[in-house]
Amino acid sequence: MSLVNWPGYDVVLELLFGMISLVLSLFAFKVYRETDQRQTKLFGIAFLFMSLSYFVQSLFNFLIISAAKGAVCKVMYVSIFNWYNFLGVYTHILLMTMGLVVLTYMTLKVQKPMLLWMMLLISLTALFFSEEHFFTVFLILSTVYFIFISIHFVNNYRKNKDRKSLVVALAFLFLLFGSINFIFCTQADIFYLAAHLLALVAYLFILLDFYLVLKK
Amino acid sequence: MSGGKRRDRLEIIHDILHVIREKGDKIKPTHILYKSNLSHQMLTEYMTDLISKRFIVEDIDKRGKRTYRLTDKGYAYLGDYSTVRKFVDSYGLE
Repeated sequence: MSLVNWPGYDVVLELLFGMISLVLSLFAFKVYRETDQRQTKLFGIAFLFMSLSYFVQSLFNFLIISAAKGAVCKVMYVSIFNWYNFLGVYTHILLMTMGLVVLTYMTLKVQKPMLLWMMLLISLTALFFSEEHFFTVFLILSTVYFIFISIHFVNNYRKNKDRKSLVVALAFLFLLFGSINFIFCTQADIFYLAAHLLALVAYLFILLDFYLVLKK
Repeated sequence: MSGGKRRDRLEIIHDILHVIREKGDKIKPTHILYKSNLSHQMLTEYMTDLISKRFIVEDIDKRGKRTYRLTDKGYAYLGDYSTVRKFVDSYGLE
């Protein structure tokens, strides 16, 4: 049985992404407490939103799988599936959009809260009016945000030219490739799997950087 | 004190706190000015910031002379500086 057909691999991976994001967020808040660095606070907030978004996605995917096993008839399953899918997808998308907007704003290194609110408002308005294309619009928006975020981290590597910055830049490039793959996930399941595996590589890079940072 | 390339805010704060700790937690502003390699105006801004954010405490004696000492937060900053520096640099958070 290939991984594509293995029910629940996405639940496990999303849970893992949520945990790694949460650890990164809490560490950023710890650094913020010690340094009062505004950028670090924004970074912590962004990853907290992303972490919650992954936890919600994982939980609802788990509930959908559980409902499939426990449903007594197909009508009942479809009804539960639609309800869980609606709640899960919308909450995940809202939280992830907020995380990406805050992270993109952080990379701009400006102190203009109005800009942050404008980015957030434009993104949420686009999602609100996209109706049946809601998910596609979200994936395109997140890809655009990942492009800008990746540019920041690649430039940071070009400036520092060290291993840690390279690992972080690679992590965000993999998240960008993963996001592009998600756009095509309605075409074939393999894109859904590929997107998760690319994100897995990205979060392993983030863990590696975390290890390098904490190593004495 | 770091020389050569321009110091960023994190490094300047580290250098000021380091000078205070080296002097046994009772240092006059003129000593900090001399050791920190900053202009008077910049040092005043940093000291005000460090006091307001509770990295250091200002003590004034009966004769009105001012000295500075580190708080627990100041010591924590110095202790974790290397880790914080690596984290901030790897994500370009400065």
